[in-house]
Amino acid sequence: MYGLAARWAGRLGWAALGLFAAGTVGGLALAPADYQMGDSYRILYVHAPAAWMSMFAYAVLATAAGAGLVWRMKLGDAVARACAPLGAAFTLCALVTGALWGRPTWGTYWVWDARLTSELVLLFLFLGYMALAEALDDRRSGARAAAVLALVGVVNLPIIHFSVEWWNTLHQGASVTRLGRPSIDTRMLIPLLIMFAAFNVYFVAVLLNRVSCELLERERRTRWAAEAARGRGGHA
Amino acid sequence: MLDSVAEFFRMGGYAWFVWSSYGVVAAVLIQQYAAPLLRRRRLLREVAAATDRGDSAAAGGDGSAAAGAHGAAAGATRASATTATAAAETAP
Repeated sequence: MYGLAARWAGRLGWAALGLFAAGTVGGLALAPADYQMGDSYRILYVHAPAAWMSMFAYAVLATAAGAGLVWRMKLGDAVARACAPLGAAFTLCALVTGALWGRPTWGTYWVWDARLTSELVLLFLFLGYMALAEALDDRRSGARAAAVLALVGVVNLPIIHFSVEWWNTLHQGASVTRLGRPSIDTRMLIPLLIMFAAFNVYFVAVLLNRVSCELLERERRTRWAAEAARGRGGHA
Repeated sequence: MLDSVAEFFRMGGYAWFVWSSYGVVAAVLIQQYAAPLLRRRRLLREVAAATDRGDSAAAGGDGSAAAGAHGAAAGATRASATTATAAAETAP
């Protein structure tokens, strides 16, 4: 299982690299400029997928942590632990690129608006999970405490998603997932979809690498770990 | 040709915002991708070193004892073959 995860992670990593390249070229060079925002809108191609992945990573984290909590699945804890730093990274990307987009568009890097604030709360949830999971000496009770935090934090996801509808905010509403026709030009839309795919594939690749590391660390004294070490990431 | 390249990098006057966005995302994603790979390389090297001394064979198949031995690596590599198991079990 360890070898399989590592092998697939490598393949998916290359696939993600290809998609990132295609999406970036499409987004920066091929797509036309926006008639209102000019070229600043090109930040969309990294901002929207990063923001989406931050929520997706949290949903995966909470599901895995919940499974670890309820069924005492070790794999659940391992997946949840693997999600946390990655999710925090996506959230950070979404916040930084959002600020860099907000400055030319809204005239400010930051505003305490519902969407921005709830996304910041998401960052703290990821960091809180990581801190709590590592804080307790007993790894299993640490995982349990962190899982409770993760499950409570799930209420933040619908708040982030619907914040642009529930409150009057500076942040615009969804333009891609709108039912019927998306309110965006096809030449703009295709690179965006490629970037979404790239971020998703990248997420799975890094997750597999992290989980396989976690397994290796946990079972380092077993025979298969020794064999993997001898074959340098070989079979198991 | 050169003009259009310069124009591309100017990003319609939004160069700072666009390029730093992509730069930050690239840096963060590369770091996140590299971290588990580096950790795995270190782990495999440690396991290989332990195997050469023969303590992995002694503990072969006993994964449960090692489950709580997070971070015991540094101690285990320094300890001798006979005390390595004890060190792993007492480590936090």
